[in-house]
Amino acid sequence: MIAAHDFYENRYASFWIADGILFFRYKPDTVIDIEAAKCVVADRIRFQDDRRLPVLCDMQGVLSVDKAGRDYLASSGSVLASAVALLVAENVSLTVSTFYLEISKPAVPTRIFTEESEALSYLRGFLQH
Amino acid sequence: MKRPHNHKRIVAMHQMLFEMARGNFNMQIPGSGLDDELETLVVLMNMVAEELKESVLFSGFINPHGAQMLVASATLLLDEADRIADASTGALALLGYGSSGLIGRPIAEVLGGGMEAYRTMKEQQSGGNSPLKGRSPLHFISDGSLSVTAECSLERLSGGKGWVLSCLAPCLVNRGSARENQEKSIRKGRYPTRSDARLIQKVYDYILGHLEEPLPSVKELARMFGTNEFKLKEGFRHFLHTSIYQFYTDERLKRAYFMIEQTEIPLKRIAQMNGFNSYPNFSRTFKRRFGMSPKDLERK
Repeated sequence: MIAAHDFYENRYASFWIADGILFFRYKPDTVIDIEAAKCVVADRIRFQDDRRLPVLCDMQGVLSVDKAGRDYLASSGSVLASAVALLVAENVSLTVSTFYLEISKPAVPTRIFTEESEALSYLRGFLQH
Repeated sequence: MKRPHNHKRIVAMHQMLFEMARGNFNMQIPGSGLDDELETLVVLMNMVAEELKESVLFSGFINPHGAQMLVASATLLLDEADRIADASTGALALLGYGSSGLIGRPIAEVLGGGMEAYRTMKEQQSGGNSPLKGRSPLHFISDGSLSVTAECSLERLSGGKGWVLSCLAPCLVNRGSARENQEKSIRKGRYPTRSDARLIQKVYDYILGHLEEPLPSVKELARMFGTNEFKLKEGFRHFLHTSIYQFYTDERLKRAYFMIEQTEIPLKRIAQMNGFNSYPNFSRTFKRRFGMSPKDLERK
């Protein structure tokens, strides 16, 4: 099934779907505040067209996420996501994502990966058959 | 570490920590855009401050300056082989273990930093039957692998079959009641503001700074701080979970405790200095609060 639009971009991130998985990459030097969080979640949900999908979220461009952003993503940001894999690099994105996972406690299964292939393996376990 | 962009961030981190120590969680360190190890500490510190702002400071921006810390008391019974034969419920709570996690274990296993300090305490006790007990800080490893520090003293059991390790550690006021208070306030429709907190902080600091004087009436305090009696009493109850008078007398009692411990001033005089005109009354109140009579407290 081909999505109505197979690539989308907003101020903060780019989205595309491949093999039943939603790919979501934050742009370089992104600071996620509540406005950014609401924007990406709303756009993602619209892009997914009411389908519940596993999400690969590339965090490597993220500089920081403030508390309002974290809390929003952990709750509302989990809507229509069957699972989330956070792709990180070694330093800041890893720290921020780990903090998000441990402290903000997202509402759907979420794991952190440094390798995209491992992230995709994980997400494939959540595909609807 | 001497490069300007590193130095700048380290300075900012120092400042941040000082602010947090003051109870101010409003600060954030500006991001540098760099992706290195130092920046991970920067973002982590920022995130921690945000969380603390909302959750840990149950009352919001009142820095107790340590004076509001209750003292948790914990006792361990050790056998001749330095194993934990028994532990009080306070000890289990302080060290964060269930009884099965502690009893039967060698004390060495829960002492962070080794047995040296403990052995020194034992040696000091072995010389004769002197009731003098020195107190030393010991670091324990709690069940979560964080460490807890407590002032401890060691005593030989007179039956000769072991030792008693008594520990005192500061602990924060029980947060359970704090949340109830918060919910009550929200339901009443009046949620305390930051300026309320600032007011109460000022009164709190004033009282702590004037313990040797008689406590002004609530009316007088309200006048001094430009507010009304109701706000003052409500504020104190909400943020500090006690009445102004109760707080004042409790702090005086704690001050008496430290005076007894740290000075050679006669007990009767210490009682007078802390507002107790009758020594028996002081002794009774002291015993109720600390579980021992003033005479039993060892003086340095």
